[in-house]
Amino acid sequence: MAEERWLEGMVALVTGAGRGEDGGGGAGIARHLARRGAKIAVNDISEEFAMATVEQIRQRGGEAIAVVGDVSNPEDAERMVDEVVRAFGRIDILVNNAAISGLIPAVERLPDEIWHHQLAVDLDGPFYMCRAALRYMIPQRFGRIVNISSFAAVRTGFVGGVTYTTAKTGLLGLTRQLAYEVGQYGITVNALMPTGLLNPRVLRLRPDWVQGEGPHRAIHPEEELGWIVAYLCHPAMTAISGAAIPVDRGMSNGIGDFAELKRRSGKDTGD
Amino acid sequence: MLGRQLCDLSGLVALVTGAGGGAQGGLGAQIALQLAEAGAQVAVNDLTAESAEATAAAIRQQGGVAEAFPADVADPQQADQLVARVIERFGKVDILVNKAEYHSAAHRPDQIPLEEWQRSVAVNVHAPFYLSRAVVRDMRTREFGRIINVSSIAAIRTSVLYGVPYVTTKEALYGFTRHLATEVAQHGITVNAILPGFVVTPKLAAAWPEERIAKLAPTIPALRAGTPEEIASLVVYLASPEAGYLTGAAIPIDGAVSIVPGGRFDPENCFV
Repeated sequence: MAEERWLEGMVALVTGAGRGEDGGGGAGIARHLARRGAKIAVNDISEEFAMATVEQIRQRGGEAIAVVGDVSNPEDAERMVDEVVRAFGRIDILVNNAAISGLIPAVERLPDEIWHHQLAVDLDGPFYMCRAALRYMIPQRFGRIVNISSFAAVRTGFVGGVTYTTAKTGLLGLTRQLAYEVGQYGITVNALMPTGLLNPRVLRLRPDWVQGEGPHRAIHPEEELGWIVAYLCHPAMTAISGAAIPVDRGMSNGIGDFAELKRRSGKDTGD
Repeated sequence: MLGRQLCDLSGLVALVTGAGGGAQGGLGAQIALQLAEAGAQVAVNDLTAESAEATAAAIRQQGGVAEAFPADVADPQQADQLVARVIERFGKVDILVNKAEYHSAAHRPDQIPLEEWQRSVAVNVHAPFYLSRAVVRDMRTREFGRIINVSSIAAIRTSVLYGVPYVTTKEALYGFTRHLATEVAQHGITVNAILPGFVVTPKLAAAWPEERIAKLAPTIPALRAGTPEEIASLVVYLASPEAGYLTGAAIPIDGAVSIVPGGRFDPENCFV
């Protein structure tokens, strides 16, 4: 069955979308948006990472370029968006996926460097990227921004520590206020809150982190997360904006077992 | 238990940031005053010695114990030194109120100056982290502590006054509150966020024309702005030993304005 290509003619920049087959949510989103007809700019912190996804998309007949840079650097953010517009003539879709997670010390032992670096990538980064992309989206009176938050934004991080919870929660504020302000320009801004996303690298390192099967199986980056992003980016999809949508098979509202989560994640609570 | 006073903070030491200005101050000053009235010894922080001393003097005048501790809490070294100085003077910190905040100006989102963003993140998110980190180490030695982060209803809704950096950082502060709460709950330390709505402080009354304040009142179900006293009394409760099982919460205190249905964004009334 031929896939519907409702993003034909649109240009998408997806951050943290490298590593191709071995990538996480970002690479999956980039591949899915390409399947829907969008031209893709794949961002990651190295040429090697970004090109892995670019090659995958090209092999499947899609159009893609690599834009290499650090989203936590405001100058990089502007340069990368400029590069996308120079290559493809416009930017319609920005997906802020790049983020740092992982186990970190408890707050009382957390060094400034970890706090600053993670918040810079996970919270400042999306702001810098949004600000840069809006320079083009506002004048063209069209845009779709999707911020990849996490269910940690309404609970707490399962694997990530305090910086992750703080940044992903702040990202909902960014999403809501931007949506409120830029709706008048034909731009929507939404956040997705996935949990239990299938990530080949994480799965290799810690197979116990993603344990569900069947109806509890992990969220598939390309087939599921990417599909939801593509849906939010549909040109006619103007009604949903400022939303924070859980992508969790309805599981996250159960009351978790803190002791068990702590044991499985190795979470540091300072004891 | 008969006769035992609710919210007796005697014997406890409180550090309140952004609490300067005394009688002419903002919400922080009122919080410091009420914590002192409830019996706490209060370390009053603000950017300048003069401002912090104004509140400390007002507390001493009403018979309380207070001292001024000027510092820029967005600077990690100054934040650490601040907590160390308070412990040196009062022996400990039982209550930390993160009130110091930065109000970003409302710019169109593609034109927000870098400094507006960076100062908002530094004061509204980094500073509470630096201070919480330092006080938790001390609180754990007594298995008791109260951290109260003054966020805003912007953390659950939006803001027409202060724009993207303010809303983002105030919600990030709520995330920080939740995560820290789970980490320290086992040590008798609670961490909560309060989300004040529209509150007329002496500082705001001096800065805003009366008509502007009057225009906002009818938009609130309570038909009036909140008073600093009303907000401060919630902080006193959260700081009390009685509130030991209330943690990780974000409590709106806003005359029900945060549950009113939304309205269209009106750029005429907000961008600078």
